[in-house]
Amino acid sequence: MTIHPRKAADSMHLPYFEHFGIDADLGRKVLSRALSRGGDHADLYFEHRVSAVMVLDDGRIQEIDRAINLGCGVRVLAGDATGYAYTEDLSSEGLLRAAETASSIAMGGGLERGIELHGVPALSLYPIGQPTFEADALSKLDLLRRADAAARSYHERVKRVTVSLAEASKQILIVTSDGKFVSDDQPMLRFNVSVVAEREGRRQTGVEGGGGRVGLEYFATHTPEHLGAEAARIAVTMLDAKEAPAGSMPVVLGHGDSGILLHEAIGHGLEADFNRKKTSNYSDRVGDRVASPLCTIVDDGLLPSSRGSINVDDEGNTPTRNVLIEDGILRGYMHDHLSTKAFHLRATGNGRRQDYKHVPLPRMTNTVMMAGQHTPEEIIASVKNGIFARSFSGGQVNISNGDFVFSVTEGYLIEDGKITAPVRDVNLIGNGPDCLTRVSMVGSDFMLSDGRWTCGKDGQSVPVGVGIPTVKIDAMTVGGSKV
Amino acid sequence: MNDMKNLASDVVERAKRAGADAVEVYLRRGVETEVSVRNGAIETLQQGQPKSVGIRLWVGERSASTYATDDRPAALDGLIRGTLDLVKLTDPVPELAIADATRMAASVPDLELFDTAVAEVPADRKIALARETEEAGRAADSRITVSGGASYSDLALEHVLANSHGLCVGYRESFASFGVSLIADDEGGKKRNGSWSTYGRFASSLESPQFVGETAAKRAVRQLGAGPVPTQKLPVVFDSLPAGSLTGLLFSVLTGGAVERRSSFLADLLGEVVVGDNIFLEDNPLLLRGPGSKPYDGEGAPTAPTSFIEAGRLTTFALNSYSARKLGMKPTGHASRPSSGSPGETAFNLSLRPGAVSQEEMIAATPHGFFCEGMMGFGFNASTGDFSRGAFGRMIEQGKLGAPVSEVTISINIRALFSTIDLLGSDIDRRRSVAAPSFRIREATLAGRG
Repeated sequence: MTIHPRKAADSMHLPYFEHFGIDADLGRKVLSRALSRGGDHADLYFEHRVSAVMVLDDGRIQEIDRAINLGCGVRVLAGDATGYAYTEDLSSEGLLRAAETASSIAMGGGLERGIELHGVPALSLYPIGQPTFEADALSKLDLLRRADAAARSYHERVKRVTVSLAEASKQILIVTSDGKFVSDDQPMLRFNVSVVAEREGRRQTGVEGGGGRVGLEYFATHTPEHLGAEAARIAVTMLDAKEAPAGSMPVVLGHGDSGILLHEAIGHGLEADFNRKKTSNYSDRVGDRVASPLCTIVDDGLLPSSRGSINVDDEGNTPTRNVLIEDGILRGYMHDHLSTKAFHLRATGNGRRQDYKHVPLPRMTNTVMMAGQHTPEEIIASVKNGIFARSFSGGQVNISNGDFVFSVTEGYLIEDGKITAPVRDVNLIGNGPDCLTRVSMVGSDFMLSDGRWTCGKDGQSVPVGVGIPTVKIDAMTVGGSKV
Repeated sequence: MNDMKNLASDVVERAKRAGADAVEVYLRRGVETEVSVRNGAIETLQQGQPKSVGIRLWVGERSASTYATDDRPAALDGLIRGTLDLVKLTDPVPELAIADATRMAASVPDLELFDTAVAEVPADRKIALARETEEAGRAADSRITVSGGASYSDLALEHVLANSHGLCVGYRESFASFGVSLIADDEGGKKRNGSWSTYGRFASSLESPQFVGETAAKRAVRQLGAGPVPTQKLPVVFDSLPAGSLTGLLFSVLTGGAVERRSSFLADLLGEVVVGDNIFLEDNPLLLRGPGSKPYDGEGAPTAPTSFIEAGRLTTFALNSYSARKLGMKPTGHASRPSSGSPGETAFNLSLRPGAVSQEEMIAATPHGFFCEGMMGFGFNASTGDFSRGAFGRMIEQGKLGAPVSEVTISINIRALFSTIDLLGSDIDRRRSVAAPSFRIREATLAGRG
């Protein structure tokens, strides 16, 4: 068996994992063992993830926690069935044992087969200016102190400030029985400021933050002072929040974080595993109108430095710009290896997993809606009575019936075309296909969310991005308490 | 277990020799398996042996922590050195010191948390259980059209906690579970899903495949034809599962972390009547075979039954060493121990004390109301208690369950909610680590159509 570098020779040279004794020869040996009882496909997913979080709380650098995860997942596919085993023992014996366990899914006789590995042309979507792990720790702690000072000085009602900086370097190596041999270095930075403001016994919390696959250069454009003051502004503003109205009314979603609407209303329903199993309300609906003609929605794994971007997916496929909905018409799903085979389609690069302990699943990367024609001012001005939603704490969807919710943490009344009083925490609920047909205005002000979102599915968390321009939905159920 | 204890003690000694003034080591090793089937065919067979080591080190009043999946002795020296380097970067935080030596558990009570039978279930039997569950569900109702799959999973874990006070304790625990997700087709291309799982520490405590399958089928078809109702204020009966979620939220605002950070609306209300006088919120970490039972808490202190709310009065917060010191109080033995990082607070087997009314009687006593079967989303603000979440269930008309409802939102302040419970059910299921009976509240806002 030989190695055929398809691209440059250095794409097969992976010194990072060679440090752990992992090379192409060992990869082939383990894959051969994995397929020794039969099976159509096998892959290995090596992961070394080093992460750290620094926390400044109540004025002190309180905690520094570091974590080191190192392991390998071995997968064998036999028809629609998956055998999976993982190990933290990366010795040849440990890996072969995991391969043996995973191979038990295949009941047929094994074939000795040669596996030829080749490099895969890798993207470079996240060149890092100043890797956080290489930076002086004191300079990172200074970022926390700066955000803390800005939040405290914002207003006398600010009572408590917590700032955290989380950094991770995730090195992965994927080796597959169809010959892929590809690695990636996936950095992640997440900065967060949480502020509690108090007035006469009433309290409110404000949260602001962001990051992405970036280094410390991020803070040149997103200063800790700005992030700290913004968290404080939200906490202080929301002290005046009024009871929110209840019932169906127009909702204007601000640009950026409101992309959570796309993630919940349509994104999950278009992950191909649900459609392969016919458990999604979007099953068998490619070609149907599922949204207003103003909506073009894309899952784009290629956005530079974004939290949801990847140079290679966790099955060794190259991510794509995947048009899900074009002018309101459903065009396609997001696929992993299994669904690609089931639908006889090309891979879309959406096979992702939390870590080596988990099987890959079709997952979103960065889910965005393309910009439209209206200015945000025109959109607000068009609403007589409604809600303007600016920031959110999270969302959830029922894949089967399409009902989805998301929780507004910073929202305002719109009265006679103007944004007025802040409203208390309110839940928005809708039904995916129904809600998107009610999109009546799309802004020209597209914005990608500053990287802060994590998506959970089947017990697995992966970082994702969302983005959207200002959007008006003619009628949506607002879960306030005032009838 | 003895291997792990020796390793943990060894790490404590090595860290002390390397310069740490205080050390805490948490080792975890386990075996987990999962099988899933769909339409009778095997979909996945998974197996893994998770292991981890967590080390917290103190030098003076500074501390840092490390988590790693590699617990080989050669790797551990590097971890200790790396952690000591991090310690130097932190500020002195006296409240974050290691738990007091006087609080360490003297013995580890046997709470019957480990069942050897769980580990002995052969793979074929696990597959058969998943298959039988799926078949029972599909056969239960002709309106079930699709199976989302059935699965069986189990986990055996060994925990060891050691520290520089000389503590070195451990215990074993097991879990097993199986369940199924089923789909019924509704009008307009909508699908309705229902799922049910049974779980327990002992194989013998699990429900039958027949029961699990039939329950999942019932939960799928009960939502057929559901839709929003007009916006209104009305009494709401919460089924025991959503009642448990609400009970968990009530606990979350009396944890020391939320209180000392002042992000809880209960922060200044210790000793006050904060909810209705029919509310008793209790925790029993020592429940035999309890799903959340633990013989010692995350800092190695003994656990004990605790009453957080008695007849509506907030009697204590849930405190670990850090939050107790910050608040000038005594810890309550509710430290959690995440694999990485420093302790938080947790309840172990939390329960809302049940009443005497059956769920049927509660519904029969409601002329017009909403029966909430489940909730969606995260709409809860701990600072204010404002609660707003998606909900589904059925209308109650003239004391009977009526039309199925979905795509509505329930809004109410959680303090108001627990102050206006006028009927408390008797139907508590203590197999859940947060257990609550169904209950009725006088009024909440249901936002829907119009």
